Amino acid sequence: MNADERPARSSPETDLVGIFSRVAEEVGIQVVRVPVAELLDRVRDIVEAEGGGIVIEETVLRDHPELASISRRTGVSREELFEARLGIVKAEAAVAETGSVVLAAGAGSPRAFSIVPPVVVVLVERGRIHADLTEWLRSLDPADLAANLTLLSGPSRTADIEMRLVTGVHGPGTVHVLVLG
Amino acid sequence: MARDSFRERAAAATHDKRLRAALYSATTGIDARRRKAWAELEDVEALREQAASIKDRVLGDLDRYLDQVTESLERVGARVHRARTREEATEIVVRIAREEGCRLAAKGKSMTTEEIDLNSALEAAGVEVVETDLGEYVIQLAGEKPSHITAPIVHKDLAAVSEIFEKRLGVPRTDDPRVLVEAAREALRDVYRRCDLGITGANFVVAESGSVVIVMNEGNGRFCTSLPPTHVVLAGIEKLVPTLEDLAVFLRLLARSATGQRITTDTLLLTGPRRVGDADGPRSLHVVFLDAGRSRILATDQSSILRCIRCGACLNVCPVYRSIGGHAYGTVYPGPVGKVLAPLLDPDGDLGALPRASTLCRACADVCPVKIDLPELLVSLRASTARLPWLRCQGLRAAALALRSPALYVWLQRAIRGRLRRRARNGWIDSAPWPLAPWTRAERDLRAPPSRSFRDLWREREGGKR
Repeated sequence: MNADERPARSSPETDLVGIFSRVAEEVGIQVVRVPVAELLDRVRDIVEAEGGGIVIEETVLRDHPELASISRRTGVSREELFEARLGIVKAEAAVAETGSVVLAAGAGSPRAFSIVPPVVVVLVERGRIHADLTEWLRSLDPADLAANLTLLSGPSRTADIEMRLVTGVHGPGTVHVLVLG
Repeated sequence: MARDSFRERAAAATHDKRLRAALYSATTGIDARRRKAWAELEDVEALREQAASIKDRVLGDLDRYLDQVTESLERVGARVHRARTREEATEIVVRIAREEGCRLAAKGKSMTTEEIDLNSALEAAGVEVVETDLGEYVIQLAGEKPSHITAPIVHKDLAAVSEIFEKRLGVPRTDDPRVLVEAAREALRDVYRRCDLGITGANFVVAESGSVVIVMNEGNGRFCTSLPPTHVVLAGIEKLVPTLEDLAVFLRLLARSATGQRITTDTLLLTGPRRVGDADGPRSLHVVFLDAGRSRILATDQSSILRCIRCGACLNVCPVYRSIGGHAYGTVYPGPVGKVLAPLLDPDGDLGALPRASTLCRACADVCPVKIDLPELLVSLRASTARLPWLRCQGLRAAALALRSPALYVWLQRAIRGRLRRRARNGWIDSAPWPLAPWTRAERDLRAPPSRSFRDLWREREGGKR
């Protein structure tokens, strides 16, 4: 690389968001950076574009009560869940190296909201992006893990038939990640 | 599986042009992606060394790690079972299904469950089992067995899959894979709605935390492990890794080696059943550790085969696998790893032909993410299973003698060269005399030896110089 082609210096933190966004986009995630004040508008844009029933995690509503105007459905029956079009969930962390968001199951965070609906919207705070897998795994306490930690790195996909890539096999075919802050 | 011999199945496969076309495009395609993904790593050699040494550490002290993982799993509320044999493992799973009143199992892709033929055992016990990985689902619809560790229907082209979907699901013939995937999605979502048992394998089990780690791309395993009230994991005892941090090494290598991805779409760390207060998740989690020959392998010279993380990279580069596909092997694990693992897991299975079906080209060793020296293991297996007839043993002994004595060697060489040259036509011999006859028995000719040997030429050249 020539000296004059070198990218402008930026803070390491900014780079992390940049690397995460680039890698996540490469694996088919739609990433946008959103100032907290604009969160409602951006979620509304996605919801209007995708249409259909919405389920939302209680933990998301707790952090962002303004999203209650979009949906308050935090607990649904299995039948209703399978009818839902879109799930809004919160990520506990993200990993820049692999473009992954980390979803943790818990009291207000059902596993199913990011599994069953064909579209999933994941909110992650920019300060929670780790550089790589090692750093993320080191941050975990082996004696205190959520019962289900899922590294989600793109829409559900298969290449089983003649190695031809098809997305949205079982789980979400569309994954939006909103990086907050 | 067909009852004919490996040799016959392999011969038939090499004449199946459709199979070979499907195999060639898939295996070369996957390997090209693997190479690209490996090249992206800063120091892939160091990472492979690290992975091998972590696995060796576990295998060298397996009892202790098994005790540790059992303690960790029980601490988070999982039930741990140890199965010494395949039969014990199926009995345990069937008993769990009965006790928990399960009728419909959604199953994630797992070679270990293939090893114990779990599906037939469960179905005999009245539990319906549905494979949810798309490739495995096709295999189940077709009533076949997977032919690759990570790409189970690599032997089928699109037309063949479409034919199965038409026959079994009434989906009109199509040349659009998306139509087939959509049909499978609908059928399987109905299963996810109703299933009361989830069955999966494990890619890794972390000893320090008791986390079962499962990777996939389709997301099917997330349904299997989250929606049904009961989740049963079947894991070989060699799947342990000591710490969460060690996991990073394997996650970096596994997807890159298997499909050329940086990481699979879904990587699950499952630590116990649902917690008090959790909104959903399985109420009970059972982890069945399968031995079924593994601790016996641990005591052999081939114990490093237990490092294997089932990425399938060795299959994709193997000239034999590329030519005959997975079914010809007649074993659960095909390809280079299968040629070592299958005879070791099943010492009475009459599988001695498998380690011999290799050119020892080392392509498999070059791509193994955990640095298993597969060619060396093949050679040592050949040695340990060699049962040569008396006459051939004496012949080899005589050959060894001749190769050690220059005078005898020169004399024999001259004699053999003369005999062979008399049989040659246009520089080729189509039927060699004993003991070389088997060489030319198949569709294979032997090149006639030159009139003068290398030694003769050398002597002339050296003589001329002086």
